[in-house]
Amino acid sequence: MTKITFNTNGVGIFKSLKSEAKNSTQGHSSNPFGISFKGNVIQADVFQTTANKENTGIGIRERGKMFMSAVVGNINSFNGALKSRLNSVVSFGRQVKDNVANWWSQAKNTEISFDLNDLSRFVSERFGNNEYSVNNLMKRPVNELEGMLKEELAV
Amino acid sequence: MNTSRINNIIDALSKHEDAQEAIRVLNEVGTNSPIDEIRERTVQALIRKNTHDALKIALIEKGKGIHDLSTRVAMSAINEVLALEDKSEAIKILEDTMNLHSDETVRDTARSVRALVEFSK
Repeated sequence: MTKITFNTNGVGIFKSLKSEAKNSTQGHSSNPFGISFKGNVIQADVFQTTANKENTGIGIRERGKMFMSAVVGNINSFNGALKSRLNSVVSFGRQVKDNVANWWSQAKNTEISFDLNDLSRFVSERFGNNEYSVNNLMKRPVNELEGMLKEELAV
Repeated sequence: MNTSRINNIIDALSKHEDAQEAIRVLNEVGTNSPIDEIRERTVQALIRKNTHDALKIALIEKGKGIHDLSTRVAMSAINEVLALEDKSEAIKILEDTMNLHSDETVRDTARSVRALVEFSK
């Protein structure tokens, strides 16, 4: 039987790689960019100019004014938008109310009638029970039909 | 003018027992009407009767039936002739018209309709 043995040197290589990886993660956690200038982490205000540092008193005041004006402007525009939306909602509600009121008044003033004479005339004309149906006309003398035809054409 | 009543009267005349009198009324009142619809309806009723006297009016007389000045009325009359089940009487009248009528346009129209009848068989 052959024995499988691991080379200890190989294990050592793995170990060294592990330790390097550990170091790199540490670096990332302290400096998110992963760049270090010989161990010194760059501060945020490194790039700020000296001129700005001198005028900070005036700058803050100006910025405050600008900020406040922006806030006031936003409040005004918000109020305007809110008002216009409320107005449109109110006008829509009024329109709906008016429509309902109109419909109701129209419904109240509508008269429903049922004319039996019209119905019977319609049925008789439709189903040929009137005097102008072909079957009834055929029973009449030709002279009478001639008169009826002339009369209808003259109208 | 009540068109449905007029149509009913014309239909009643075309089916009337007193055929001779009915044809006379249809010829005098219906085919001389200034309204195209009435002439059209009358000529259809006359052709449907399929009798010699009725067909004579629709096929021979100038300005009536197939010789009507209105294309609509003339075409309607020709359609009605073509739709007849028994065309023997119509063919006989058309042939007589082709050969014997004094007016050339009437003869030509009769010849054309005769040809159409032949093709429609």
